[in-house]
Amino acid sequence: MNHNSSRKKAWSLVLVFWGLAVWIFVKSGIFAPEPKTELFFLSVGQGDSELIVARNQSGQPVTILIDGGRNAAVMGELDRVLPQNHRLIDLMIMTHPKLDHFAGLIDVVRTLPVRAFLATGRKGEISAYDELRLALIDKKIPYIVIGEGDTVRYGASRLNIVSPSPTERRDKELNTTSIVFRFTDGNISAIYTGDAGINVETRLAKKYPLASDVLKVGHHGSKFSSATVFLKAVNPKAAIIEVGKNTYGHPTKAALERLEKNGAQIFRTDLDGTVKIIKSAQGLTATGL
Amino acid sequence: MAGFICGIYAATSGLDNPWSILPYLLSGALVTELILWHYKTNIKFLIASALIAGFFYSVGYGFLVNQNQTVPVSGAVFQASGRVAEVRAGLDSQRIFLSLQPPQNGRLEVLVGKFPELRYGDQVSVKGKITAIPNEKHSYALRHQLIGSLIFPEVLIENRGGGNPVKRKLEEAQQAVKNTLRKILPAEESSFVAGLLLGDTSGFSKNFRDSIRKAGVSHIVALSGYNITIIIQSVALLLLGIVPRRAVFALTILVALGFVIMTGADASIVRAAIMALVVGLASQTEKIYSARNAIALTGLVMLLINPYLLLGDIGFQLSFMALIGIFYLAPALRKIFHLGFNSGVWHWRENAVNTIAAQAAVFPILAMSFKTISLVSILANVIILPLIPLTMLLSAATLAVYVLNSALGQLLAELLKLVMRAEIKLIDFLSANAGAIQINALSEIATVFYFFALLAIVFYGQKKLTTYES
Repeated sequence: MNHNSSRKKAWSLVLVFWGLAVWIFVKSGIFAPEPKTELFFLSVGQGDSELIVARNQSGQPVTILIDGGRNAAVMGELDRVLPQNHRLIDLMIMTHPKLDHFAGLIDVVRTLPVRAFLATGRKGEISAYDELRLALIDKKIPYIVIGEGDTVRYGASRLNIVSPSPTERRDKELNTTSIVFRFTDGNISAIYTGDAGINVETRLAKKYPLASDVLKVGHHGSKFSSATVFLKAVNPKAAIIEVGKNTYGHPTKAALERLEKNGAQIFRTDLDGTVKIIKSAQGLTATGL
Repeated sequence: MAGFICGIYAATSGLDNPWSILPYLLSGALVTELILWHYKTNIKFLIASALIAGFFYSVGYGFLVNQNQTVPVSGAVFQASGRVAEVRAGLDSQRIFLSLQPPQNGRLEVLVGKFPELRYGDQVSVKGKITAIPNEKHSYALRHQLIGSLIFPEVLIENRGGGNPVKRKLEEAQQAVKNTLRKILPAEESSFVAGLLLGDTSGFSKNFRDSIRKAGVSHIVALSGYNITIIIQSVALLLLGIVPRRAVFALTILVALGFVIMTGADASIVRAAIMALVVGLASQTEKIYSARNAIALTGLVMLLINPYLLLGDIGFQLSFMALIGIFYLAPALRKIFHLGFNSGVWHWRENAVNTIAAQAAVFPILAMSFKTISLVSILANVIILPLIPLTMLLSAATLAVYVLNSALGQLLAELLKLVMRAEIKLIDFLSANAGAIQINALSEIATVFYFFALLAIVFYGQKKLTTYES
C-alpha cells in the first residue's frame, strides 16, 4: 500500500516535469510559423509609441521601438506584443525630446535590454530628459545621432530617415525637430512622422517619393499636421492616430476630414486600443488588440 | 481597553475643540451604566477611568504635536524646504509627504510630476499656492501632521541622501526588488507580485486596481497581517535548523522591523508586525498566547504612539475591525452553525467563515468610505486565499534564484508567470461578475444597530459555547 502510493507520487512528479519541459519547449517559439513584419501602434494614452517587429532572412525578429509615450504604460503594451523569444529592443528611436514621446522610454531602458538609442542629438529641456540620459549612461546604451539622409539597414528592411534637416534640427519648435522616416521590408511600407508639422510635411512631399501602405499620423491628429499635399504623396491605405484623453482637442476635425478625403482607413488608439498591422498576399490586415 | 479607545474617540472626534464632546460623553456614560448594570462597581470604575485616561491622553497628545504649527492661509504662495518623508509614485505623478524644517513645523502633502523622481531623504524646496486641508480630511491631516497641500509646485532638489540611513537603505533594497521583478515578469504580473511581497500597489493599472477591489481581495496586496505573518514564518522556518531558537526569534524581530520600515510603516503592517512578535514572545516565554489579548495590546500600543490613527487612518480601522471579526465573530458563527476547524478542501469552510466574519465587521466602514460592497468577495477569498502563500513563496524563490543565476531564475519566472496569469484571470473573471452594490448613505443610527446585532451574535455564540461545555 505504502509502496504503491510512493510509486504513484514518483510518477506524478515525473509527469509534472515532462509537462513543464514540453511547455517551455513550446513557449520558446520553435514551432511558431514564420511570421511577417508586424507594425504595432501602442495604446499608451495621449502620446506616441510604435513598435516594428521585422524579420531577417532566417526569420529572427528585430525590434524597433519608436517613442515610448508619457509613462510606464508602454511596458504593459510591450509585454503583450514583443515576441516571446525576443524580449528586447534592438533599436530605440526617440523622434524628439517631448514628454509624451520619451518619458515612457525611461522605464523601457531600465527594464529591457536595449541595443542602441537613435535620436537627433537635440537635448530635452525638462527634468525627465535628465533621467533618460542617466538611464542610458547607466545601461551603457550607445547614443547614435541620426538625421536626414541616413539609412538603417537590416536584412531586407530599410529605415530611410528623411527629416530633420540640419536647420530643422535647430528649430525653436521642438515638434519640427522630429525624426521622420519611411520603413519598408520590400513588402509592407510605413511612414512615421513624430510630431512634424505642415511645413516639414510639405518639404518632404516635394523632395521624396513617400508612397506607403501605412501612415502614423503627425502630432496626434493636430490641425497643424497632415497637409493635403503630404497625404496625397503618401497615399496611405491605413492611417493611425495615436491619441488619448487630452485638452488639445486631438484629433482635430480638420485633420480627420483631410484624412477621410484622402481615402485612408483611420484607426485611433483611444478607440481601437493597440493596433497591429500586417501585409499578406490579400493585402493589409489591421487588428485592434 | 474599550474604555480607553472610547476616550480617544471622544477626544479626537471633537476635532478643534475636544471639550465640545463632553455632553455626549456624559450621556454615553449613562447608556453604559444601563447596559452594564449587573456588573460589579469596580469593573465599571475601571472602564470609566480608562475612558477618562484615553480622553486626556489624546488631548495632551494633540497639544504637544500641534504646538508651533502655523496653519497657512489657503491660496497664499507658500515657500518652504524640508525632507521627503514618504513617496508614493503613481503612473504620472508622485505624492510626497514633506517634513518641514524649523522654524516651520509639521508636514506638507505635495503632488509633483513624475520627474525628477524623488526619494526618501531628499532635501527639497517647494514653492506654490497652498491649499488648506478640507474639513472632512481633518482626522487624516492630524494623523499625518499635515498643515496643507501643494499641487504641482516648483520643486528643487537641494541635496540627496539625508534622512535615516537605515530606512534609506531599506527603501533602496525595495526599489531593487521591484526592478528585478520588472525584468523577469510582465508589467501586470510584476506589479501584482510587488503588491503581494511589499504591499506596493503603485504599479497597478487602473483596470487591475478596480478588479481586485470589485472581487473583494484588495487585502491580499494591502500588506495585511497575512503577508507579514507568511514572511516571518518563512524566515523562521529557514533559520530554525541553522541557528539556535533564541537567535531565530531575535532575527525574525529584525526582519519584521526592517520590513515595517521598508514598507513605510503603514498602520496595518505595524499592527501585523506587533502581533506577530507578540505571538513569538508568547511562544518564547512558554505562555499560552491569546489572539484576543494580542489584538487589544497592539491596538493600545499603536494608539498610544498616535491616537489620531483611530479616526484618521482607514487602514487602521479596517485591519482592526477585520481582526475583531475573525477572532470574535467567526468563532461565534462556527458554534452557531456547528462548523469545525480545518474542514474541506483548502480549508474552504474556515476561509469562508473568516471572510464572512471579517466582511461583516468592516461592512459599515467600507460602506461609508468606499460606497461599494463586493458580493463575490466570499467566493473570491475562498478560492484565492489558499493560493497566496504559495505564490509569495514562489515569487521570493524566483527572486533569490534569479540573483544567483539569471537563466535559472528566468525558468522559474516562467512558472510564476503561469500561476500569476491564472490568478489575474480569476480575479478579472470574478470582478467582471462581481455585482458590487452601491451604497450611498448609511445613517449613524443604522450603523449602531448593525454593530449591536453583531454583538448579539457574538454573545449568543459564546453562550452556546458555555452550554456545550457544561
